This record gives sequence, C-alpha cells and structure tokens, in this order.
Amino acid sequence: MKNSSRLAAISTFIALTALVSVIAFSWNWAGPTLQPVIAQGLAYLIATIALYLFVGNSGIFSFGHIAFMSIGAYVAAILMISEANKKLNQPDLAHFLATTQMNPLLATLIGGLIAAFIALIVSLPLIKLSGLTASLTSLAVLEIVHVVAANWINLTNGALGLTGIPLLNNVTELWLVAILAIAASLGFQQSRWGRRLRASREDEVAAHSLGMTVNKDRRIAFVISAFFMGIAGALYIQLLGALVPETLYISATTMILIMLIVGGMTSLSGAVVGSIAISTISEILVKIQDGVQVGGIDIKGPIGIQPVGLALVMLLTLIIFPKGITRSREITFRIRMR
Amino acid sequence: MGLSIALVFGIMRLVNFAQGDLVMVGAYGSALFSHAPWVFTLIIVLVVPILFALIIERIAFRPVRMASDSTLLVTSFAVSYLLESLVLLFLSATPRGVNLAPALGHPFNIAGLLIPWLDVATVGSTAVLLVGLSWFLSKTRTGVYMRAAAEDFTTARLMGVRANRVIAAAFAISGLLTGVTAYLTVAQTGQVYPAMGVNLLLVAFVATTIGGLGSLSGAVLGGYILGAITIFIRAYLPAQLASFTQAFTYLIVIFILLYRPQGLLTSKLNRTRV
Repeated sequence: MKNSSRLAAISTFIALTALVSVIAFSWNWAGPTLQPVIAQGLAYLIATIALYLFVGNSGIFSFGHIAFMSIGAYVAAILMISEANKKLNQPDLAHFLATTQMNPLLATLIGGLIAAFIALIVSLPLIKLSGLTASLTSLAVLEIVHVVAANWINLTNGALGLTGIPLLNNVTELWLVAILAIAASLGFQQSRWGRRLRASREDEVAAHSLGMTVNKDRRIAFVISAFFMGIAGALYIQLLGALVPETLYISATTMILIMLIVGGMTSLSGAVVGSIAISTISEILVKIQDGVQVGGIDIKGPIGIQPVGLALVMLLTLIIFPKGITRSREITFRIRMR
Repeated sequence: MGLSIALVFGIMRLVNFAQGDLVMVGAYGSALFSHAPWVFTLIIVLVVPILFALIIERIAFRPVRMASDSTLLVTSFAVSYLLESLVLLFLSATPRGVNLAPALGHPFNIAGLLIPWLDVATVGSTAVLLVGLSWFLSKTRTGVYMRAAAEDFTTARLMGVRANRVIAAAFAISGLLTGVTAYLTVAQTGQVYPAMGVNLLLVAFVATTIGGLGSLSGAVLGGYILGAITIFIRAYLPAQLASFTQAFTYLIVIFILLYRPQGLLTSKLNRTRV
C-alpha cells in the first residue's frame, strides 16, 4: 500500500516536471514578446505551488501569502542592487547594506530564508487561530508588510521603490526552482506531517480525537511555503527589474488565488495546471485588449476585459467544478514494477 | 458595515468579500446621480446595493450553498473581484469627486463645541440601525426565522423555515446596511474609486474578527475598539513612526486575537467543540 502511494507520487512528479520543462524550454524558441510572459508565468507557478503547500494541505485559506513573496523580493533586491545604484536611490541605507552587492543567486536564497524566518515568527501567534479567523488575520499580515514596505523609506525607498535590480536573462533558475518546489510539495504531502495535516483538513475534530496535534505540522507547512514564496518573489523581481510596494500586493494575491482555485485547491497538479491555464487565458485576454488579428479579422476588446474575464473564469469554475478543473486529483500514470 | 458582515456570517457561515464592493457599487450609484435631489440620491444609494446583494446571492452563492466554509469564502472573493473589474471596465479607475449632501458638512455649535452634522448622522444612523436590527431579529417572523437558521440551519429547515427566503432576506438587509455605509463614506470622503470597497472591507473584517464573528454587538464593539486603538496609537507614537500607524494597529489586533482567538464576544454556535 505504502509502496503504491509512493509510486503514484513519483509518477505525478514525472508528469508535472515534464509539463513544467516543456514550458521552460519553449522559452528558447519563443519570440521576445512571449519570453517575459513565459518567465513571469513560471514565477507565478512557483508561488502557486508554494501557496498550495500550505492551503492545499492544511485547508486554511491564506490571503496573506503574497506578504512573504514581497519580503523575499525586498531582501533579495536590497542585497543584489549595485552600490552605485543604491547611493542614488537609498542614500540613508545602513552602511553594511549599502556596500554589499551579492551574487543574485545567493541574494535570492537569502530572500527565501528570511521570508521563511519571518513566517516562523508570524506563525507563533497565528497558528492558534482556526479556520476563518486565521484567513482574515492573514490579510492583516499582508497589510502590515505593505505598510512597512511603503513607509520604511531608508530601507525600501517607500512608494518610489527600488530600481536597477539585475535582470535574469534565462529561465534556468525559474525552471529548477519550479521542479524543486514540486518535489518539496510532493515530499511534504507524502510525509508524516503532510498526512496528519491533510487528515486535520478533512475533519479537525476527528483528527484531534485520534491524538493528532497539528499545530506543529501546520507550522512546518507554513514555513516551507513561505520559503518558496520568498524565492518566487526574489526571482519575479529579477524579471521586472524594479520593485514598488504595490508590485506584490492585492492584485498579485488575486492572481495566485485564482490560479489555485481554478486548478483545484487540494492537489499539487491542480496548482500547476491552474497556474498554466490562467497565465495562458490572462495573456490571451491581454492580447485581445491590445487588439490582435486572427485570420484577417481584427479583434479588439475594451480596456479592462482581462480582469473581468479572469473573474468570470474563477466564478464559473467554482460553480461548475467546485474542486477545480483537475477535480483535485493528481495526474498519475502507472509505473510497472517487474 | 461590520453589522452586515456579522449578519450574513451568522446565518450562512459566509464571510462575504463582496460586501466591500457593494459599498463601492452604492457609492458609484451616488456619484452617477449626485445632481439629483438628495432624497433621490439617498434612495439610489440604499436600493442599488440591495438589488446587487440579491442578484449576487441568486447567481453566485445559491449554487455553492452546501459547500464548505472556505469555498464560500473564495466564491465571495471571486464575486468581489468581478464587481471591481466590471466597474473598471464600464466606468474607469480614476477617482471621482462627489459632493454629497453639503448640508451635512456644516458644523453646529453645542456649548462652544463645533460638531459637524455628518458625525451626528453617522453616530445616529449606527444607533438606529442597531436598534432596528435588534427589533427586527427578535420581534418579526422573518427575524426569528433568521436567528433559527443561524443557530442550526438544517433543523430550522426541518421546522419549516424557508431557506431561500431567509437567506435572501439576510442578503437584502446586508445590502441595506451596506448602502448606509456607502452614503456615509462618500459624504465623508467625497470620493469614489473602484478599490474603495477593499480598503473599507479590511477594516470591517478586522473589526468583526476582534468582536467575534457572527455576533452583532461584537461587530459594533470591534469597530469602536479598532477606532480607539488607531487614535491611541496615533496620539502616542513618536512622529517619525506616524506613517506606520496601520501596521501597529493590526499588530495589536493580532495580539488581542492571541488571547481571545474567538473574538471578544463569541456567539455560541461558533465554537468548535473538541
């Protein structure tokens, strides 16, 4: 029994990795207009997987996860922007920060670690809350991070934001991190902690009666999830080159929530498929908004059609497939053992 | 605002994200008809959110009513996003200035204190609504049905409470409360913009959460506590930290929740027994 579930997990890993790899490699053949779309799509993919790791396993909806993406992004940006640029934008930065300029890869990793560390601190009080109260409080966390980012002028340059962030010129890192996130997520799902957490998601009272205390498991999921969120944020801003407090706030939150919901909240395949589907739909809508020619016919939608389209997709999905387009199943295939 | 969230939550265990956007819709209603006589504008602001609340309930929430708490939460989130994007699509993102009820802006004088009529109107309408709602819930048939449904929805249905009608009524009332919120907010700030709902909603959510989800008096108490904390922090925080007021407010809120995870006034049905 245990063996077969492990095999199923391995097959899911292979299927999802293949899917992500196809998308990552298509970057090489894509034109200059499509390349950033693919790269940003991959960054969102990582963030959605990270969100799934917590929400999908614990069943607690978090509206605040983008806060950790923002933290990762700010930490990485401050560490990797060149000294000259910092003098220009942040004259009051503490000396040791102003003079360091790290390798982007290292800065990204530190961004993830600090996001995870802050998640650990935040989790101390938040873990005591249950269900809906926790969901609403996570919004308060997002708000706190946003207020700090907008007002700690010395560190973040406030609403003017940071510029001169070194750009990524390929998707290798995004691809590797996406695969790592898939592996971590599946590994967690298979682990003792993940299974306990899923049990508590289905029926918290029953899980308690079997002697499971899930607070620790929740915390583990929360911290791992925040780590990948931070990394996703750090990579994401290396695609944009600039960072303001609004970059990672309500609209980004909406985006990853739509991705997870449309895909299917309680399966990893849902997170992956959902984020790919939504990135595609969103890009098509943006194209229509800008005006495209299909078969000689001009199609031009009104401005603002993209969010309306996404909202409709999300609402219809919830009504027609309440468990998402993957029905919250994992993509598996049978591996023959001789 | 907090009141209407508490009401819908109590009955459906639904935290309605779209509530904030109903305020926004109502506010736009006032903006589009701001040149009409004030009674007409007031009626528009009150009626439009009620209509929207009923439409939303019928189209979006009825199909998913039996689903889990978080599905409902997410559905309301989707509705909220849809409303906001529709306003972006048909109107625009730029804030519009509205001068609603200029008469309310004038202060009047009590023993040397200048008090704007608007503040009186705000406090007065909150009191009227609270009393009216308590009367409605305890004295009228629909109100009693509503409380029964909040207590135990399945049993209430078995006893002959019409589920659709009660929930629709709850949504209509929440629409009315939202309309009042919209009118007062626009009169106070003189501006409407698509994201205004979200900002208000956050405050209302936090207020209802500290007050205790699903408890009406808790919602009012939560609102006042939140206001008090904000003013207190603003007064005692050193000037260079003033811009962080909101962050500190939410921090304190989190600590309150740490000691009272269920909120200050808890409704009984809300506790999970383990």
